Amino acid sequence: MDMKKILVIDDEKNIRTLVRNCLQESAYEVDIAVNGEEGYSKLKESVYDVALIDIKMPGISGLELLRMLRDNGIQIDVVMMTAYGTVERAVEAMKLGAIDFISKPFTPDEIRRIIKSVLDRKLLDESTIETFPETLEFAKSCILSKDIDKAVIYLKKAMGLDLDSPEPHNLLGVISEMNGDVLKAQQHYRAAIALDPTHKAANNNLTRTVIDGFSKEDADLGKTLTEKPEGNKK
Amino acid sequence: MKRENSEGKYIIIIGCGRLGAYLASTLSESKQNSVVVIDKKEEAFDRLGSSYSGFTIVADASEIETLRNAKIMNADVLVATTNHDNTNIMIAQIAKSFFNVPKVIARLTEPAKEKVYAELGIDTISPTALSSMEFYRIIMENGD
Repeated sequence: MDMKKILVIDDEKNIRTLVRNCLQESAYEVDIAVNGEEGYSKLKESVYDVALIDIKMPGISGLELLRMLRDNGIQIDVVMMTAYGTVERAVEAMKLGAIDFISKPFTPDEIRRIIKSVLDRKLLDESTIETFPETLEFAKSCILSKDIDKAVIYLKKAMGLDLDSPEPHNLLGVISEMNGDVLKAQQHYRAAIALDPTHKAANNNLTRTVIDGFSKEDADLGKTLTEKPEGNKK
Repeated sequence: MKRENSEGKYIIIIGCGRLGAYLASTLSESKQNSVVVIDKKEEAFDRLGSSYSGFTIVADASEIETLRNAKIMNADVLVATTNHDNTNIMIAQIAKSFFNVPKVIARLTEPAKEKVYAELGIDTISPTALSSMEFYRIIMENGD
């Protein structure tokens, strides 16, 4: 099997070193870019399997880079790395075809796991999907290919396969928000929280839509842990 | 939330002074470990060597939200290395009692406070006591 190629785009040297170290051990070929500009030209010139993009970079930000890539027809799978305690702008990212987030600080295990799930997702075959994780991952791939209706069908299937998992509810909530139906979205978030009161993403989403006033920009896709913004800090 | 229990450890270091920075750099050399250093001052991170591969967070670690952002609930180890004993005690206590971090170690400049930590089940390292013991050893060895 050929080695999967991964591009890490982050302005912080220590993070690039860390990610490269953990992924090289798992036998991935890792290339790095120090900012959005370099990342863009590398992605344009050669083919990578996954790009890990820091959302907060000076110059071209992660989301801007994502938009540039999509505008130019580069449909690479991406994982967005979010900073400490920031709320992800997931609806916007989702529209740009990014559904995987990893929040810093992460462990080597977490980074390997998310890369693996992104790579494995591509191998899923609709006709052979059986288990809950497969169904959930397939629903995500539907969201990525902008087939939202199909994604909803598979998310509901996933719910049936694992009645206790909050994740499909949270994703359905984000989809409802994307469609502008905030009340429906809140119902989904509440359902997710009822199943798992500690589900951070759903809690953030509910708080944001109910208390902080509605802003579609900030939906939290879950998957990895995301923390509340440090809004009231000195 | 489960703690990751593979080969590597998830380590949070509070304070990026000389001790914290040296410890962080050394620990991050092992590629399995994931190291997070928290300090109030951004300049403090200049002390980390260029080979440092881990996370840095500019924040006040005596605030619980900072510890949450550092994902303390996943931590295997927390080391409090600030130069204020009381700050170290407080953070160590939060880590131990509230977040159940399995291993909590605090730096202690005043060896007399060791008892307090011992009662809380927190390991302490006192540079003062360590160096005085070493001085003592050398003095007695080369005594005559």
